[in-house]
This record gives sequence, C-alpha cells and structure tokens, in this order.
Amino acid sequence: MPLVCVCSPKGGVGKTTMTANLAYALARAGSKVLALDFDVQNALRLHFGVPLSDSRGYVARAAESSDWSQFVLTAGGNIFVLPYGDATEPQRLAFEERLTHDEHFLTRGLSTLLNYPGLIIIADFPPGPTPALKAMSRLADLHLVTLLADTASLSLLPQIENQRLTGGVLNQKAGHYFVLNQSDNRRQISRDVTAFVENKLGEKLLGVVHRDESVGEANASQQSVFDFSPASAAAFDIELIAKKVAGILGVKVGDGTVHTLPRMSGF
Amino acid sequence: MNHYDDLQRFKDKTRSQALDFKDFSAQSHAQEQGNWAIINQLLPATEVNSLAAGGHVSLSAPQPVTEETFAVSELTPVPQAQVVEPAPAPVSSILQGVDEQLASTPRQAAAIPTPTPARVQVSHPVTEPEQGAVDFTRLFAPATTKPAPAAEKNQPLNSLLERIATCR
Repeated sequence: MPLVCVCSPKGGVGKTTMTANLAYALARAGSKVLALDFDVQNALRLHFGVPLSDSRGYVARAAESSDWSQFVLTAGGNIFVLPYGDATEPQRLAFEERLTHDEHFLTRGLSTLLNYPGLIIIADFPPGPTPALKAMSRLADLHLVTLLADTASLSLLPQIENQRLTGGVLNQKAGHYFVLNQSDNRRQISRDVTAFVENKLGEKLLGVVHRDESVGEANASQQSVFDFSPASAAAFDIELIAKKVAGILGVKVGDGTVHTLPRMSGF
Repeated sequence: MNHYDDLQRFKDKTRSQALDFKDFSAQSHAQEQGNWAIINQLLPATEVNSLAAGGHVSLSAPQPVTEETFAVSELTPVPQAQVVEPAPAPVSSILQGVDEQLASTPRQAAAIPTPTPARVQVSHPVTEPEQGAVDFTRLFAPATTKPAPAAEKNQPLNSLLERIATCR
C-alpha cells in the first residue's frame, strides 16, 4: 500500500494535474492506482472523466460511513479515483474537525484501501498546511512537493525546510522530494530558477516538468496527458518522475505475486 | 482569390448565386472553437445531447466500484505456488476414483527402468566434463532411436476399467 502525498506551500502550481498524471503513469506501468482528493475544489475527478455535474464524493458522508472505499469511482481498468465530492460548509468543517481531533478517523475510513496489497494511493491536497495533510503525513510513504519554476515558489522553499507544512518532519519513511513544474527554457527567470533548484536540491529534485500546452489541453479534454498527447514533453517528464517514484517506493510489477485468488468459474 | 469579394465575383462569373458557398479561408478557420469537454459542459444547454454530457465520447463516465473490488480474502499476499496448487474440492465419487487412478499411473510408470543413453557414451568415450561446463558429448551425440514404450501400453488399465464399470 504505497501512499504518496502531493503537496505544496503554494497554490496553483499544478498539484492536482501532477497527481492525476502521476496516477496515470503508474497505472500504465501496471500498478493498481487510486487518486485520492483532499481538496475542496473537487477538481481531481475531472482528470478521470467524471462529469462536472457529478457531485459524488466521500467527504459529505465521511462521518457516518466507516469505509470510504464505497465512494471510489472507476471507468474500468486499474485506475481509480476517490473524489472529494460536493460538500456543504458544515460538512467540510465537520470533516476537518474529525481529521484534527480523531486520530483514527483516516485510518478507519481508508482501512480497506490502505490494506489492499499493491494498491498505490496518490493523495492530492489543498495548498499550505491543512488538517488533511497533517493527518495523512503520519501514514504516507513519500511526499512530493510541487513547485513552479518561478521565484514565488522559490521563496517558499525555506518554509518547507522549517517544517511549516505539518509542524514536523514532512515524511518519516522515504522522505520528501520535489518536482519543478512548468519550466520554460525560453524565459530567463525560469531557466535561472531551474538551475538554482537543481543545484540546491540535488537528488531531492525528482524531476523537472517542462511547460507544455498539451497538459492544459489534456485537462480541458478530461484526459491524461499520455492519452491526449503521448509524444509531448510533459508526458515524457512525468513518466520519468513516475519511474523514480516507483523506484523509491520499491514498486514491483510482474514479479509473479498474486494478491487475490483468481476467479474460478463456478464448476 | 485574395480580394474581399472573391466569392461574390466567382458567383457572378459562374452564375451560381443560388448556391450557398462556405468560406473556408484561414481567418474563418482561426475563429473556430476547439472541442473541449470542460467548456462543453459549462455551455448553456441549448441542445441537450446526452452523449456530449460525459465529456469525451471514447471514455465512459466512471462508475462506483463493486463491493468486492478492494475486498481481500487474506490480508497476506497469496504466493503463486499456492494458487497453482489444486484445492481439495469436495468432488463426487466417480471423479475421486478417476483422480486417484490418474495419480497412481505415473508413479507406476516411473518405476519402470527408463532407457539410459549409455550406448552413446560408449561409442564416444570422452573425459568427464567439469562441473558447470556444457556436456558437448551429449549435445552433439547422434540421435538414438528411442525404444518404443511397450511396457506402458499394457499398464494397469484393468483396474481403472473395473472401477468405471462398478460406478454404474
């Protein structure tokens, strides 16, 4: 049950898009992947073909149901999404209150999914420190901090190092890594920031995703960048990051392990 | 055709005013809108098309998973070897009988001494190959004629036939 948290101190850096495309990349490599949304924007589902008008999700009924796996959606295959769903203000506050004060709230709701062998869970969070990020960080195997290749993101690097996201060490297991998003070689500032981050973070920088029109167009078409534009620069970059994530997590596909007994024909 | 009234002049010349020509020049092409799933869903519903509601046509809208999708019978991973192993299923008497019979047959066959390639080694006496080295004498030995497995033909079919006969 590898669990990856995609977070950032800054908004609008492409966390949700990164989460969705990372999920697609890992699923293409053969793993069963669940994309889990903790953001009230409820936008992660759109990357998986869920219609805009569809308000299904787990948050509104998180308190009364003990197993949130019943709210998981899939269009078939080995990729799944657990949408935040449409939640009213009291429902959202109640959810965050439980996340803050009930230590076992997440473990209980996600127990089926967390215990499913081999399922990679990639969780998307709202920007900055949130109750969800703090609660999930205790369970997470890896944190992926997304930053833009600009100075606004760069100026928030000390915040991460000073443990301002969760009030403690971001990840106790495999640690936290960075992804630099929307790097544009044609712009001076973008080049300089990319070079600076590469020098400063070294191995902690898992990859740089180049600025690519096809990412936005894939989002508009509710598809992954791999389906929409397989030969694009962003698809290449994200695939590389997914391979590194799989390497850190020790994900093995096709090693002959069978997690569930195959269905027998009813003879 | 690089004048603003090209189409009109063409119509006059060819006396085809009745025809409604469409202008496919570069400018009008640039004004065309892309077909984006998100924008389509936000457009005021002028024409209600159920097929367009789900976004991309090639993708089916995601549905809730069934209950057993994430249900695991055992929490520990099941190794491949265990899966391949035939489960002791409660089978009827005839199947059990045949199964026992089939299981016992290869054991009896194994008891019969199989022809060893001793003749080959005699005809080509070579020093014994080292441990791990390829045994070229065996690899390039001329194909020996296999003795017909005459002994297996009249193996204990009788008991199986008897058993099948008694099942009636």
